[in-house]
Amino acid sequence: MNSIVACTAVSILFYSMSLSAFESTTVLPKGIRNISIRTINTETKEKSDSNGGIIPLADPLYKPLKFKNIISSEKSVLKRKEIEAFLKSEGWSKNDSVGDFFADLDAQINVWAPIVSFGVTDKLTMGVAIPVYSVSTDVEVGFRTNEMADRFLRKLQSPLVNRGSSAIEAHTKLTNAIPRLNEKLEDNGYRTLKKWSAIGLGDITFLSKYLVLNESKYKVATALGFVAPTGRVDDPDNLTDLAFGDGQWDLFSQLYFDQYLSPKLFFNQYVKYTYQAPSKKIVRDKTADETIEVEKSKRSFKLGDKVDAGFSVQYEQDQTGIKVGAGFLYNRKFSDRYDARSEVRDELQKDTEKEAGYWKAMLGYSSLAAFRKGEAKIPFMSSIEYRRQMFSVNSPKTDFTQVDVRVFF
Amino acid sequence: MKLGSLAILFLSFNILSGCGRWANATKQPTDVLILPEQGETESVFSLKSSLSSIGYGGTMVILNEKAEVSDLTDLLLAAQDSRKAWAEMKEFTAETRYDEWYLEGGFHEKALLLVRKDLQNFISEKKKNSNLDIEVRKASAKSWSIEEINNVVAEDVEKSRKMISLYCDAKIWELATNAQFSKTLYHSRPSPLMLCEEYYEREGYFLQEHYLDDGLQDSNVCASSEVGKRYGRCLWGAVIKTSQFSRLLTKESQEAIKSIVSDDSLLDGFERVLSFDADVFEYKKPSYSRLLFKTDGSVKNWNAFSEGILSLQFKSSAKCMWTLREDLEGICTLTKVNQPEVISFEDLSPLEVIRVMEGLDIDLARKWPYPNRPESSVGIDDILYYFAHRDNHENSENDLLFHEPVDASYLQKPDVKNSSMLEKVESIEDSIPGVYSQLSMEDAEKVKEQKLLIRDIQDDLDSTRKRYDRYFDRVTHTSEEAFEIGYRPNLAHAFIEARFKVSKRDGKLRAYHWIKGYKESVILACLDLSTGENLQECSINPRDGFDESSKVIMADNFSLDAETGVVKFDFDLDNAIAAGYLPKERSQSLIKDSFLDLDLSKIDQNSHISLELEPGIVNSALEILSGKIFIKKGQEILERGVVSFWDQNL
Repeated sequence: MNSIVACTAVSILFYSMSLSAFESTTVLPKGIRNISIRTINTETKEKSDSNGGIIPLADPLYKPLKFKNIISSEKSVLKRKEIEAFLKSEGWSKNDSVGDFFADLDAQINVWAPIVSFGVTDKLTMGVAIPVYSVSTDVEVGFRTNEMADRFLRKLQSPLVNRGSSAIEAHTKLTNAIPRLNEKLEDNGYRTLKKWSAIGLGDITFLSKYLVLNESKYKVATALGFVAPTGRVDDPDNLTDLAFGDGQWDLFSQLYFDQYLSPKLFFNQYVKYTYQAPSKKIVRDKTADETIEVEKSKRSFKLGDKVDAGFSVQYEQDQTGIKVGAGFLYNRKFSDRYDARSEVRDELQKDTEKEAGYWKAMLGYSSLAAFRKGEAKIPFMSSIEYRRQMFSVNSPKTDFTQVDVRVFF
Repeated sequence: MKLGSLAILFLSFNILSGCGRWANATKQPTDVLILPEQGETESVFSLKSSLSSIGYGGTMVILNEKAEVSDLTDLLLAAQDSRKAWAEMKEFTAETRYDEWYLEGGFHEKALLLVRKDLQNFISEKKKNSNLDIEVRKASAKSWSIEEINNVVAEDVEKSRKMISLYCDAKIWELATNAQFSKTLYHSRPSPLMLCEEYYEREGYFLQEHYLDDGLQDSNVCASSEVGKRYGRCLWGAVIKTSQFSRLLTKESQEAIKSIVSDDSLLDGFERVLSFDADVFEYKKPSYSRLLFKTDGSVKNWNAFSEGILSLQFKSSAKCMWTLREDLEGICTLTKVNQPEVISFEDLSPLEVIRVMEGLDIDLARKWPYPNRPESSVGIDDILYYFAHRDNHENSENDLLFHEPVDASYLQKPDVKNSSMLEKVESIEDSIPGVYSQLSMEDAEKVKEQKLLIRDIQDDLDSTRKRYDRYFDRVTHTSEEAFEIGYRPNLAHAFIEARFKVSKRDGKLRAYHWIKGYKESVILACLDLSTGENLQECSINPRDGFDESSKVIMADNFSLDAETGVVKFDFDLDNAIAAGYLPKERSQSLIKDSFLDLDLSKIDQNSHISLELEPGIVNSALEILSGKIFIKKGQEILERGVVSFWDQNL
């Protein structure tokens, strides 16, 4: 099992690393620089599954405790065989479960991303976004036995079997299932399930944006950029950490189209394609049957490419500097690919195809018009944006608020 | 400036908005079934005032690490099957009180015997009291042998006739040597067996002419007497005429007997010897009296002389001479016999012939089958046994019916001990019409009721025994199956039959452990019941069924775990070897036996054997003690296995 929330931070941030809060064909005038501080705060406890249903973020920890897990914890070969023989004598299988682990996992993600951009020409703007993450997760695990456990214990205590002491031993093991799970994690090189937090640099994005068409009614721009793998990647020994980067270079290209319905009201559409380059990283060779007692190995992988598209309507009133906007954005990521034996590959690639759709709304203020009139000394823009997820597949369930403050000089 | 301040404020809020917010998950519960509590340590082994000890027996299997799971499963199931079978049998025996009521010699058999005897006595009494004339009875009995022998296997009448004749001769010997006969006065010549009288008459026995031929002065020795007289000379005179006398005895013995019979004084002495008259005994040493008589003067061994003569194996001549009066010592050499190379039926001693014909010697009867009665529930052996058999020197049914002693007080109804014979009595009596009279309607009804009672008891006895046999067969089968599994390749290093006994006496809980067949060496451990402490100074309690000569080996540890109910019993390897944990080869035959492949002397001698056992009760009937056996070096487990004991009334 790799990190069960691994993609959350990256996913959230990736869709927010454009130069402005709402997409548009706007570029900086030549010689103008801009520093923007973008802040994203979100908390999540849920995610969507492959059918779009909402499940707890800790779902991968919802594991049955099977007889085979109990058997494998015994050191004596003969004792393992004796337990197996007992199960067989009762017509039970090693794969029958005696209880279930369940958990609550909470992830708090705070991102501060300074974005610096510069107008190279009146049509070309270049920029860089350097995100800094402060992330914490907390997990609480529970355990509940099932009817099979009751039958198992009662059978051991039955007069014919007469293994009361074994029943007590098994009962103690079930009562201590969580400490034993942590022991098992430790024995297999994992960090135990507990609070985790980290602060660090994320993947840095470099972008160049070019205004191709600048008519009064229609404007078209393109962007080209790449993402450097500067953020921490998922720790294969930590089940509850968050990755700040995805560990490989990305190359992306974007097309913007603005249609002005009036001088201050326009309709924006955009589409973006991100190519994720192949790379190598250390992963746990988990399978469908076993996710803990597995080896680590360095595997070649290729994350699925991404497609983002969206539209919005934006309005800015010169007299007051107020900006408002509303729109929809859609993103999709294709399946990852790993170079591993089939049962490991299937598990690593499972549920890596992602899709999400958001409605968004923005309220902002710009002093640019006032600055031009000499009414404001500092040219700046600030905005607050709220995104609400409408649907998703294999993605974190995150509604979040993004705050932007931009200063021009 | 106002807008600038607003921007800075907004920026600050922007940067700080995420500070101090940490993930916080909700605490989750652990929910596990509550386990039923174990029994009280005090009640472990179910020992209470009414049950002060339990003796468990069963098997210990030291497993091989290479064992297949399927074999271990089979072994587990076999152990459970075996426990279940034993429990069901125990439940059945407890429910039916089998040991008390249905075992051989149990209440049901005793009751059956008693009811049958009562019935027989009742019938005999009623028939005896009938006014059937004794002469009519005698005539009926006398005619029986002719009819009966004619009914025997038609193609071998001669053989049957010969066997009957030898038997009738032997019965003369028997009566002549009978102690009671030797001292009793009769009104008429007592018949050795009324059923043989037709034969005696045909062969000319007991006739006046015969006695004159033998030179006896009193030729009227067999005649009746109103006042009563002894008939020793009459009987011994007939003995001389029997085939055994002339065929088997040496000439010397024949002459000796003839001279005794013809001499009044010697005959009187001889009869006194046979009747154990104390006057004729004169001990060479005072202690020799104990060879023949008890301290109260009663006869110790009735067969001392008479059966020796009857069997023609009178080997106690030395003892005879040490105890007899000097003038009677000649009696001690009466029965010197010719020893034929090949023994035929005619060469059997009178005693052997009697035993064959009365169905008492099965081996001889197989060699010389006696005539059978086709299509009848009773054989000739049954009839002869019922009518003619004398237990030691007691009277027989023949004597009771046909003898006419002056004092008839000694004549009692013979005690038929054999239950199956009692069942046949009515048929036997019906086989000789005219001897027994018919019962009245009222008596017949009473007999019918009694017979129904007998049948009910017998049916219950038979059906319960059959059910027990089925339980026992299952127990045997499950045990054999467990052995079969234990012999599978790579399953076990050892399959040991062992015992474990616990007793609660004089404030101590004793535990004895030994290997089946090695009870002379027992491993013992004791607990002080008041303190629960292990006692190092402890000895066998004789009431626990061990010989004082048994070698006692003290266990290292014996403890009861109050939390788990587990009994721990540890002893070191040296002691294990001394107690019989010795290498034993696997049986090569079809019948599997215990085995021990391991040589414990080759295991690190700092190791020890540890038994961890759990008492329990199956079907609320069978006390069991099952668990594990370990060979450990310190805490390291070198070998492990399973133990399955159950209460075997040891």
